[in-house]
Amino acid sequence: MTKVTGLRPLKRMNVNVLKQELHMSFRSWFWYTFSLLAMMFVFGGFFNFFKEDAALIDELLKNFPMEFRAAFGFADVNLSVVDGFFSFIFSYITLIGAIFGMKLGVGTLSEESRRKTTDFLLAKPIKRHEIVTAKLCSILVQLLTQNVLLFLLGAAVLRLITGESMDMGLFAAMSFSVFLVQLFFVGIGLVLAAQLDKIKSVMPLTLGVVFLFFIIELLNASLMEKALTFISPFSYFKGSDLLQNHGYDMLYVIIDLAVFILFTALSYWIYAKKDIHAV
Amino acid sequence: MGIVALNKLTKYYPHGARGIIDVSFQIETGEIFGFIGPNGAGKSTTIRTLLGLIYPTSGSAEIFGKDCIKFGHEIRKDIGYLPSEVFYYDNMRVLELLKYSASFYGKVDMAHIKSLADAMDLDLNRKIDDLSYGNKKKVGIVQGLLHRPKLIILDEPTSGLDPLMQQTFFELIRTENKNGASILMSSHILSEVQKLCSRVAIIKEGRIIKIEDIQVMRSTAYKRMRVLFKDAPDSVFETIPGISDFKRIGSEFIFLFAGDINTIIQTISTQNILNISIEEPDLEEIFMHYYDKGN
Repeated sequence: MTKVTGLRPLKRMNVNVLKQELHMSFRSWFWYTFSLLAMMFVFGGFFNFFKEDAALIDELLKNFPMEFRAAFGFADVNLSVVDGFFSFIFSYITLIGAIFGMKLGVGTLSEESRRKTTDFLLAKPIKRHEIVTAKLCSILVQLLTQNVLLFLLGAAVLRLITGESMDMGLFAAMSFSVFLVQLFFVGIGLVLAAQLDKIKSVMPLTLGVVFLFFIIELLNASLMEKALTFISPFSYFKGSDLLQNHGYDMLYVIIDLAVFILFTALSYWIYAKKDIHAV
Repeated sequence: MGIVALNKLTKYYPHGARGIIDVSFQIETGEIFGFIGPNGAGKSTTIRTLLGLIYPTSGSAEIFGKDCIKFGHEIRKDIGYLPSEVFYYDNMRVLELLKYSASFYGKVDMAHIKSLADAMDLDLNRKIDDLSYGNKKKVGIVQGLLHRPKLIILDEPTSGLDPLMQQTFFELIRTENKNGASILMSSHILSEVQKLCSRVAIIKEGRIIKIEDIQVMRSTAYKRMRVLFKDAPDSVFETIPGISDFKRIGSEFIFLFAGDINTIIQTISTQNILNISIEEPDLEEIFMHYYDKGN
């Protein structure tokens, strides 16, 4: 009996914050997810043109300098073949997904300090780490639902619009690499949100950090500098590599998850320790 | 055992900003305790440490006999807090916010929320974004009281409330107090502390300089005296001990007097007096007096 009464309020406590978080971020989740799905749908639809005029397009693309092709992700993939084409699409979907992941990491944990509602939340009978947990859950729920929808729509576009078939394991690996890259940015976003007290708006910081890593990947792709590959998550799960390996290179999966876990743990620690000053 | 006990609570801020130093006082169960001092003296720092928003550098504080940092989440179940400035999440209606607030304390007592909102004349269906500052403050009051806290902490509670609402608010606080809640209220406005509190702590530059019963404080024999002379004497008054805050406007002398009232009356009566008034000084004056002594 005591066990039940002891546990109940704790559970409810986490769930009410989680609900509130999901409620507040639904609109942005919806529009980002809608955009990603629309991208998948529209670009997926282009495949048939690429296939029909494969020779012509290959000719056209060959005219671009090698560095340019490498930087934009079509140096070592064949766009007129369905898996190559999808790996190309996913590299851009990943970019948008990464922006959303970073925005969630930064935005969710800095919500109170931006809205000046920290006093409201932290004066409640809740531990600080419970707050971070609830917010992290909200982020994961949003990312997972988004990625499942993306995978389902991607699979539908693949089957119904292109009419091609592809190794579904490989397709799933491509699709869920979006999620893995998002986790990397969630970790970084959480730490920044926990550490920086005066985040006024989320997007400039988000875009700055994501594009920094994207540029590192562009450099990496054109310079072929192996060391850079470890720095940018955009280099971890590149379509061309997935095609070559028939799946993830586990080393990068481990690095990616390690960054997410370490940075998230760090943000728990910072958030629990910091003084909340009057606004 | 007091409901709140601060033991040499100290907070230093980085970059040399002043915090609080060795703040100690106790609030007894059922008491309305005032905490006064000018802006920046350390009232909010003290309160925020009690709530676990700020971690002390040294010293400790207990609420309900439990350490306020270690057991903060347990203690806060029974604390109602009204910050000096209230902010809420955008796009929420008042009722939504109050329900969210109540969800932290277990079951939502809608009847109680409604009665508090009625008392404060607050429309539950309005959007918070559209509310005036005073109305937002009312939301703060309701959300601070809706879970029937045992300890109510008010940080500059009346700023932004019109005088009529202040009255209502004080009534509400008195009712909660009669129902058993203890109250800690910070303010830089003495008259409101005077209206409500039974004891006060005076804080100056991060240190408590006096803890006093409000009755004692007012009756510490200080009198505000005004004497209008026909021909103002030149030097008689300077020799009398116990006179402070001396002002002379033409032939009218205004001063505070502490000491044997006979001596001053005798001295005054040697002169030709047109008018005399002896009043209880208001708390503001006493406060300034304590404050000067603190220097």
